[in-house]
Amino acid sequence: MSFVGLAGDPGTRLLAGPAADAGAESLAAHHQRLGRLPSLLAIDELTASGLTGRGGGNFPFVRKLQLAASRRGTPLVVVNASESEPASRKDVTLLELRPHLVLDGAVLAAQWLGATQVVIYLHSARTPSTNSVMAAVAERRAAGWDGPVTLTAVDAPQGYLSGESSAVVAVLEGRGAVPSLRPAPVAAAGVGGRPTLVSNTETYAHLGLIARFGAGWFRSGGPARSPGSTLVTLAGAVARPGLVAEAVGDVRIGDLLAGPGGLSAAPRAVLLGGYAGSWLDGQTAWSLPVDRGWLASAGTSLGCGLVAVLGRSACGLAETARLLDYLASQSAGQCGPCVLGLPELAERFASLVDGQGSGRHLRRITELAVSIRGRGACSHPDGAVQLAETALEVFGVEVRSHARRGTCPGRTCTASSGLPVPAAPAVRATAVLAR
Amino acid sequence: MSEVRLVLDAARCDGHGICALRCPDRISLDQWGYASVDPTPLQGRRMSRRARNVVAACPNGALSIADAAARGAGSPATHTKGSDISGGGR
Repeated sequence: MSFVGLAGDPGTRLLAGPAADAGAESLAAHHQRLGRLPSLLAIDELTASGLTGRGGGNFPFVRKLQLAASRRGTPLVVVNASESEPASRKDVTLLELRPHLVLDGAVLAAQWLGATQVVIYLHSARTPSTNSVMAAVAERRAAGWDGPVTLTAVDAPQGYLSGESSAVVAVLEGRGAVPSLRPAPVAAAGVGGRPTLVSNTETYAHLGLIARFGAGWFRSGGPARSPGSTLVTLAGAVARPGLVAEAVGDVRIGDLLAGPGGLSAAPRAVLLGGYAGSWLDGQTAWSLPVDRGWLASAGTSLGCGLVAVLGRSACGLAETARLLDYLASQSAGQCGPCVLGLPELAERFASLVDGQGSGRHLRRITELAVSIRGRGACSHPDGAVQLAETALEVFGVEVRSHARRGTCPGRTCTASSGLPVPAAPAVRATAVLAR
Repeated sequence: MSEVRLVLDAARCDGHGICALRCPDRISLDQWGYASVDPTPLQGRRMSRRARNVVAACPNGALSIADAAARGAGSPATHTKGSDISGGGR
């Protein structure tokens, strides 16, 4: 059975239970609905489940867990709930509505690792999810639910990069949320050199269900290649921007949009995976599977689960220029090609919108892309380049029309797609000297 | 002995450019003057010695020699978005 469900819909997995307007599910209701959590994680079952990370990395979770277990030092478990993608809502929604499912998974991972500390890394300014987590932690403590494991919420600094795993470690070590090149993954050596399991909110929630219902049940919720159901956030030109839906079984992107989003025809384009994601032509995107493994092998990515729609009345070039400007502003300010390359890339796109679409101008964008890609300590510059390159592939008609007339055919090119771009400042490392 | 390669920590590179003068067949400077390192394994004793010297020459300590599979600018781990264990996590 394949379908797209919302919170409370029967047949959903992560979102099963009360409807969204009922708010957070209490510990008692959670316990009654799903039964008690097994006291020990069955590692064979987790391996068989094929669970991969849902923050964008798509890395096999069991391998990360085993890497953390193989190193000396007391491990630390971190629920990465920072969700710094401006239009993404899946993690805050999950925390707000099903806090105990997320915490169950994190506590199980901690118990398996012999860790006694779980950190929930979140933006406290998002009050509904933060209140929900704080109340859930208090409920569990009062019930003595988690044995020796203590749960602590830590406030994530603002900024697009604050959820990058090395930046998370930096914050937990008392430094700024700045990514760094580390000789080993943080799962092997993270906070203070301790093995640090930093995983996405949704990943832990799946773990809480796999522990109860097993690998076979989990796998039946998704496509064969990417087991398990998947949360997505619908954004942009959809009926309800910010709506979080769960894809169960073999679902196409078109099913997501035609279902709760309510689109009846393929849109002009879809931005997949986040602002540092990729543009896809609307017609092409409509028939693609919501399948992390398949999408990765096709050179794109479901990333943070963002599916953002650009309607036929919006201009993809103007939108890309706006998003590139934001991404450039969010550089940590450490690596030269990111500090100097991203602002120029954003400016070049703004010039495309203004009608400078000469071959020379386009060649300079290609040259910039080559100079920036793979040159950062983190993947932020690569993401911006991907956004720019896929925009040129998908919006070729718009580029030519802007070069001739300064606008798209039949559009004003001032309308926004409704994708939010926060004014939040980035966390900056010591400035690189501009040259 | 396992294969080794030069690794650049791009966050530390300020573009002094000494490395590219010392080891031009392995390190080039980009259009802004920042170092770009050839990630392929170092072959032979002479090349390894030059690599060690160039590591010592960087005033910011941005260069190192690591196992060929190690992470760093130019390595598969930072090139392929979506396969790195550190994840996207934004």
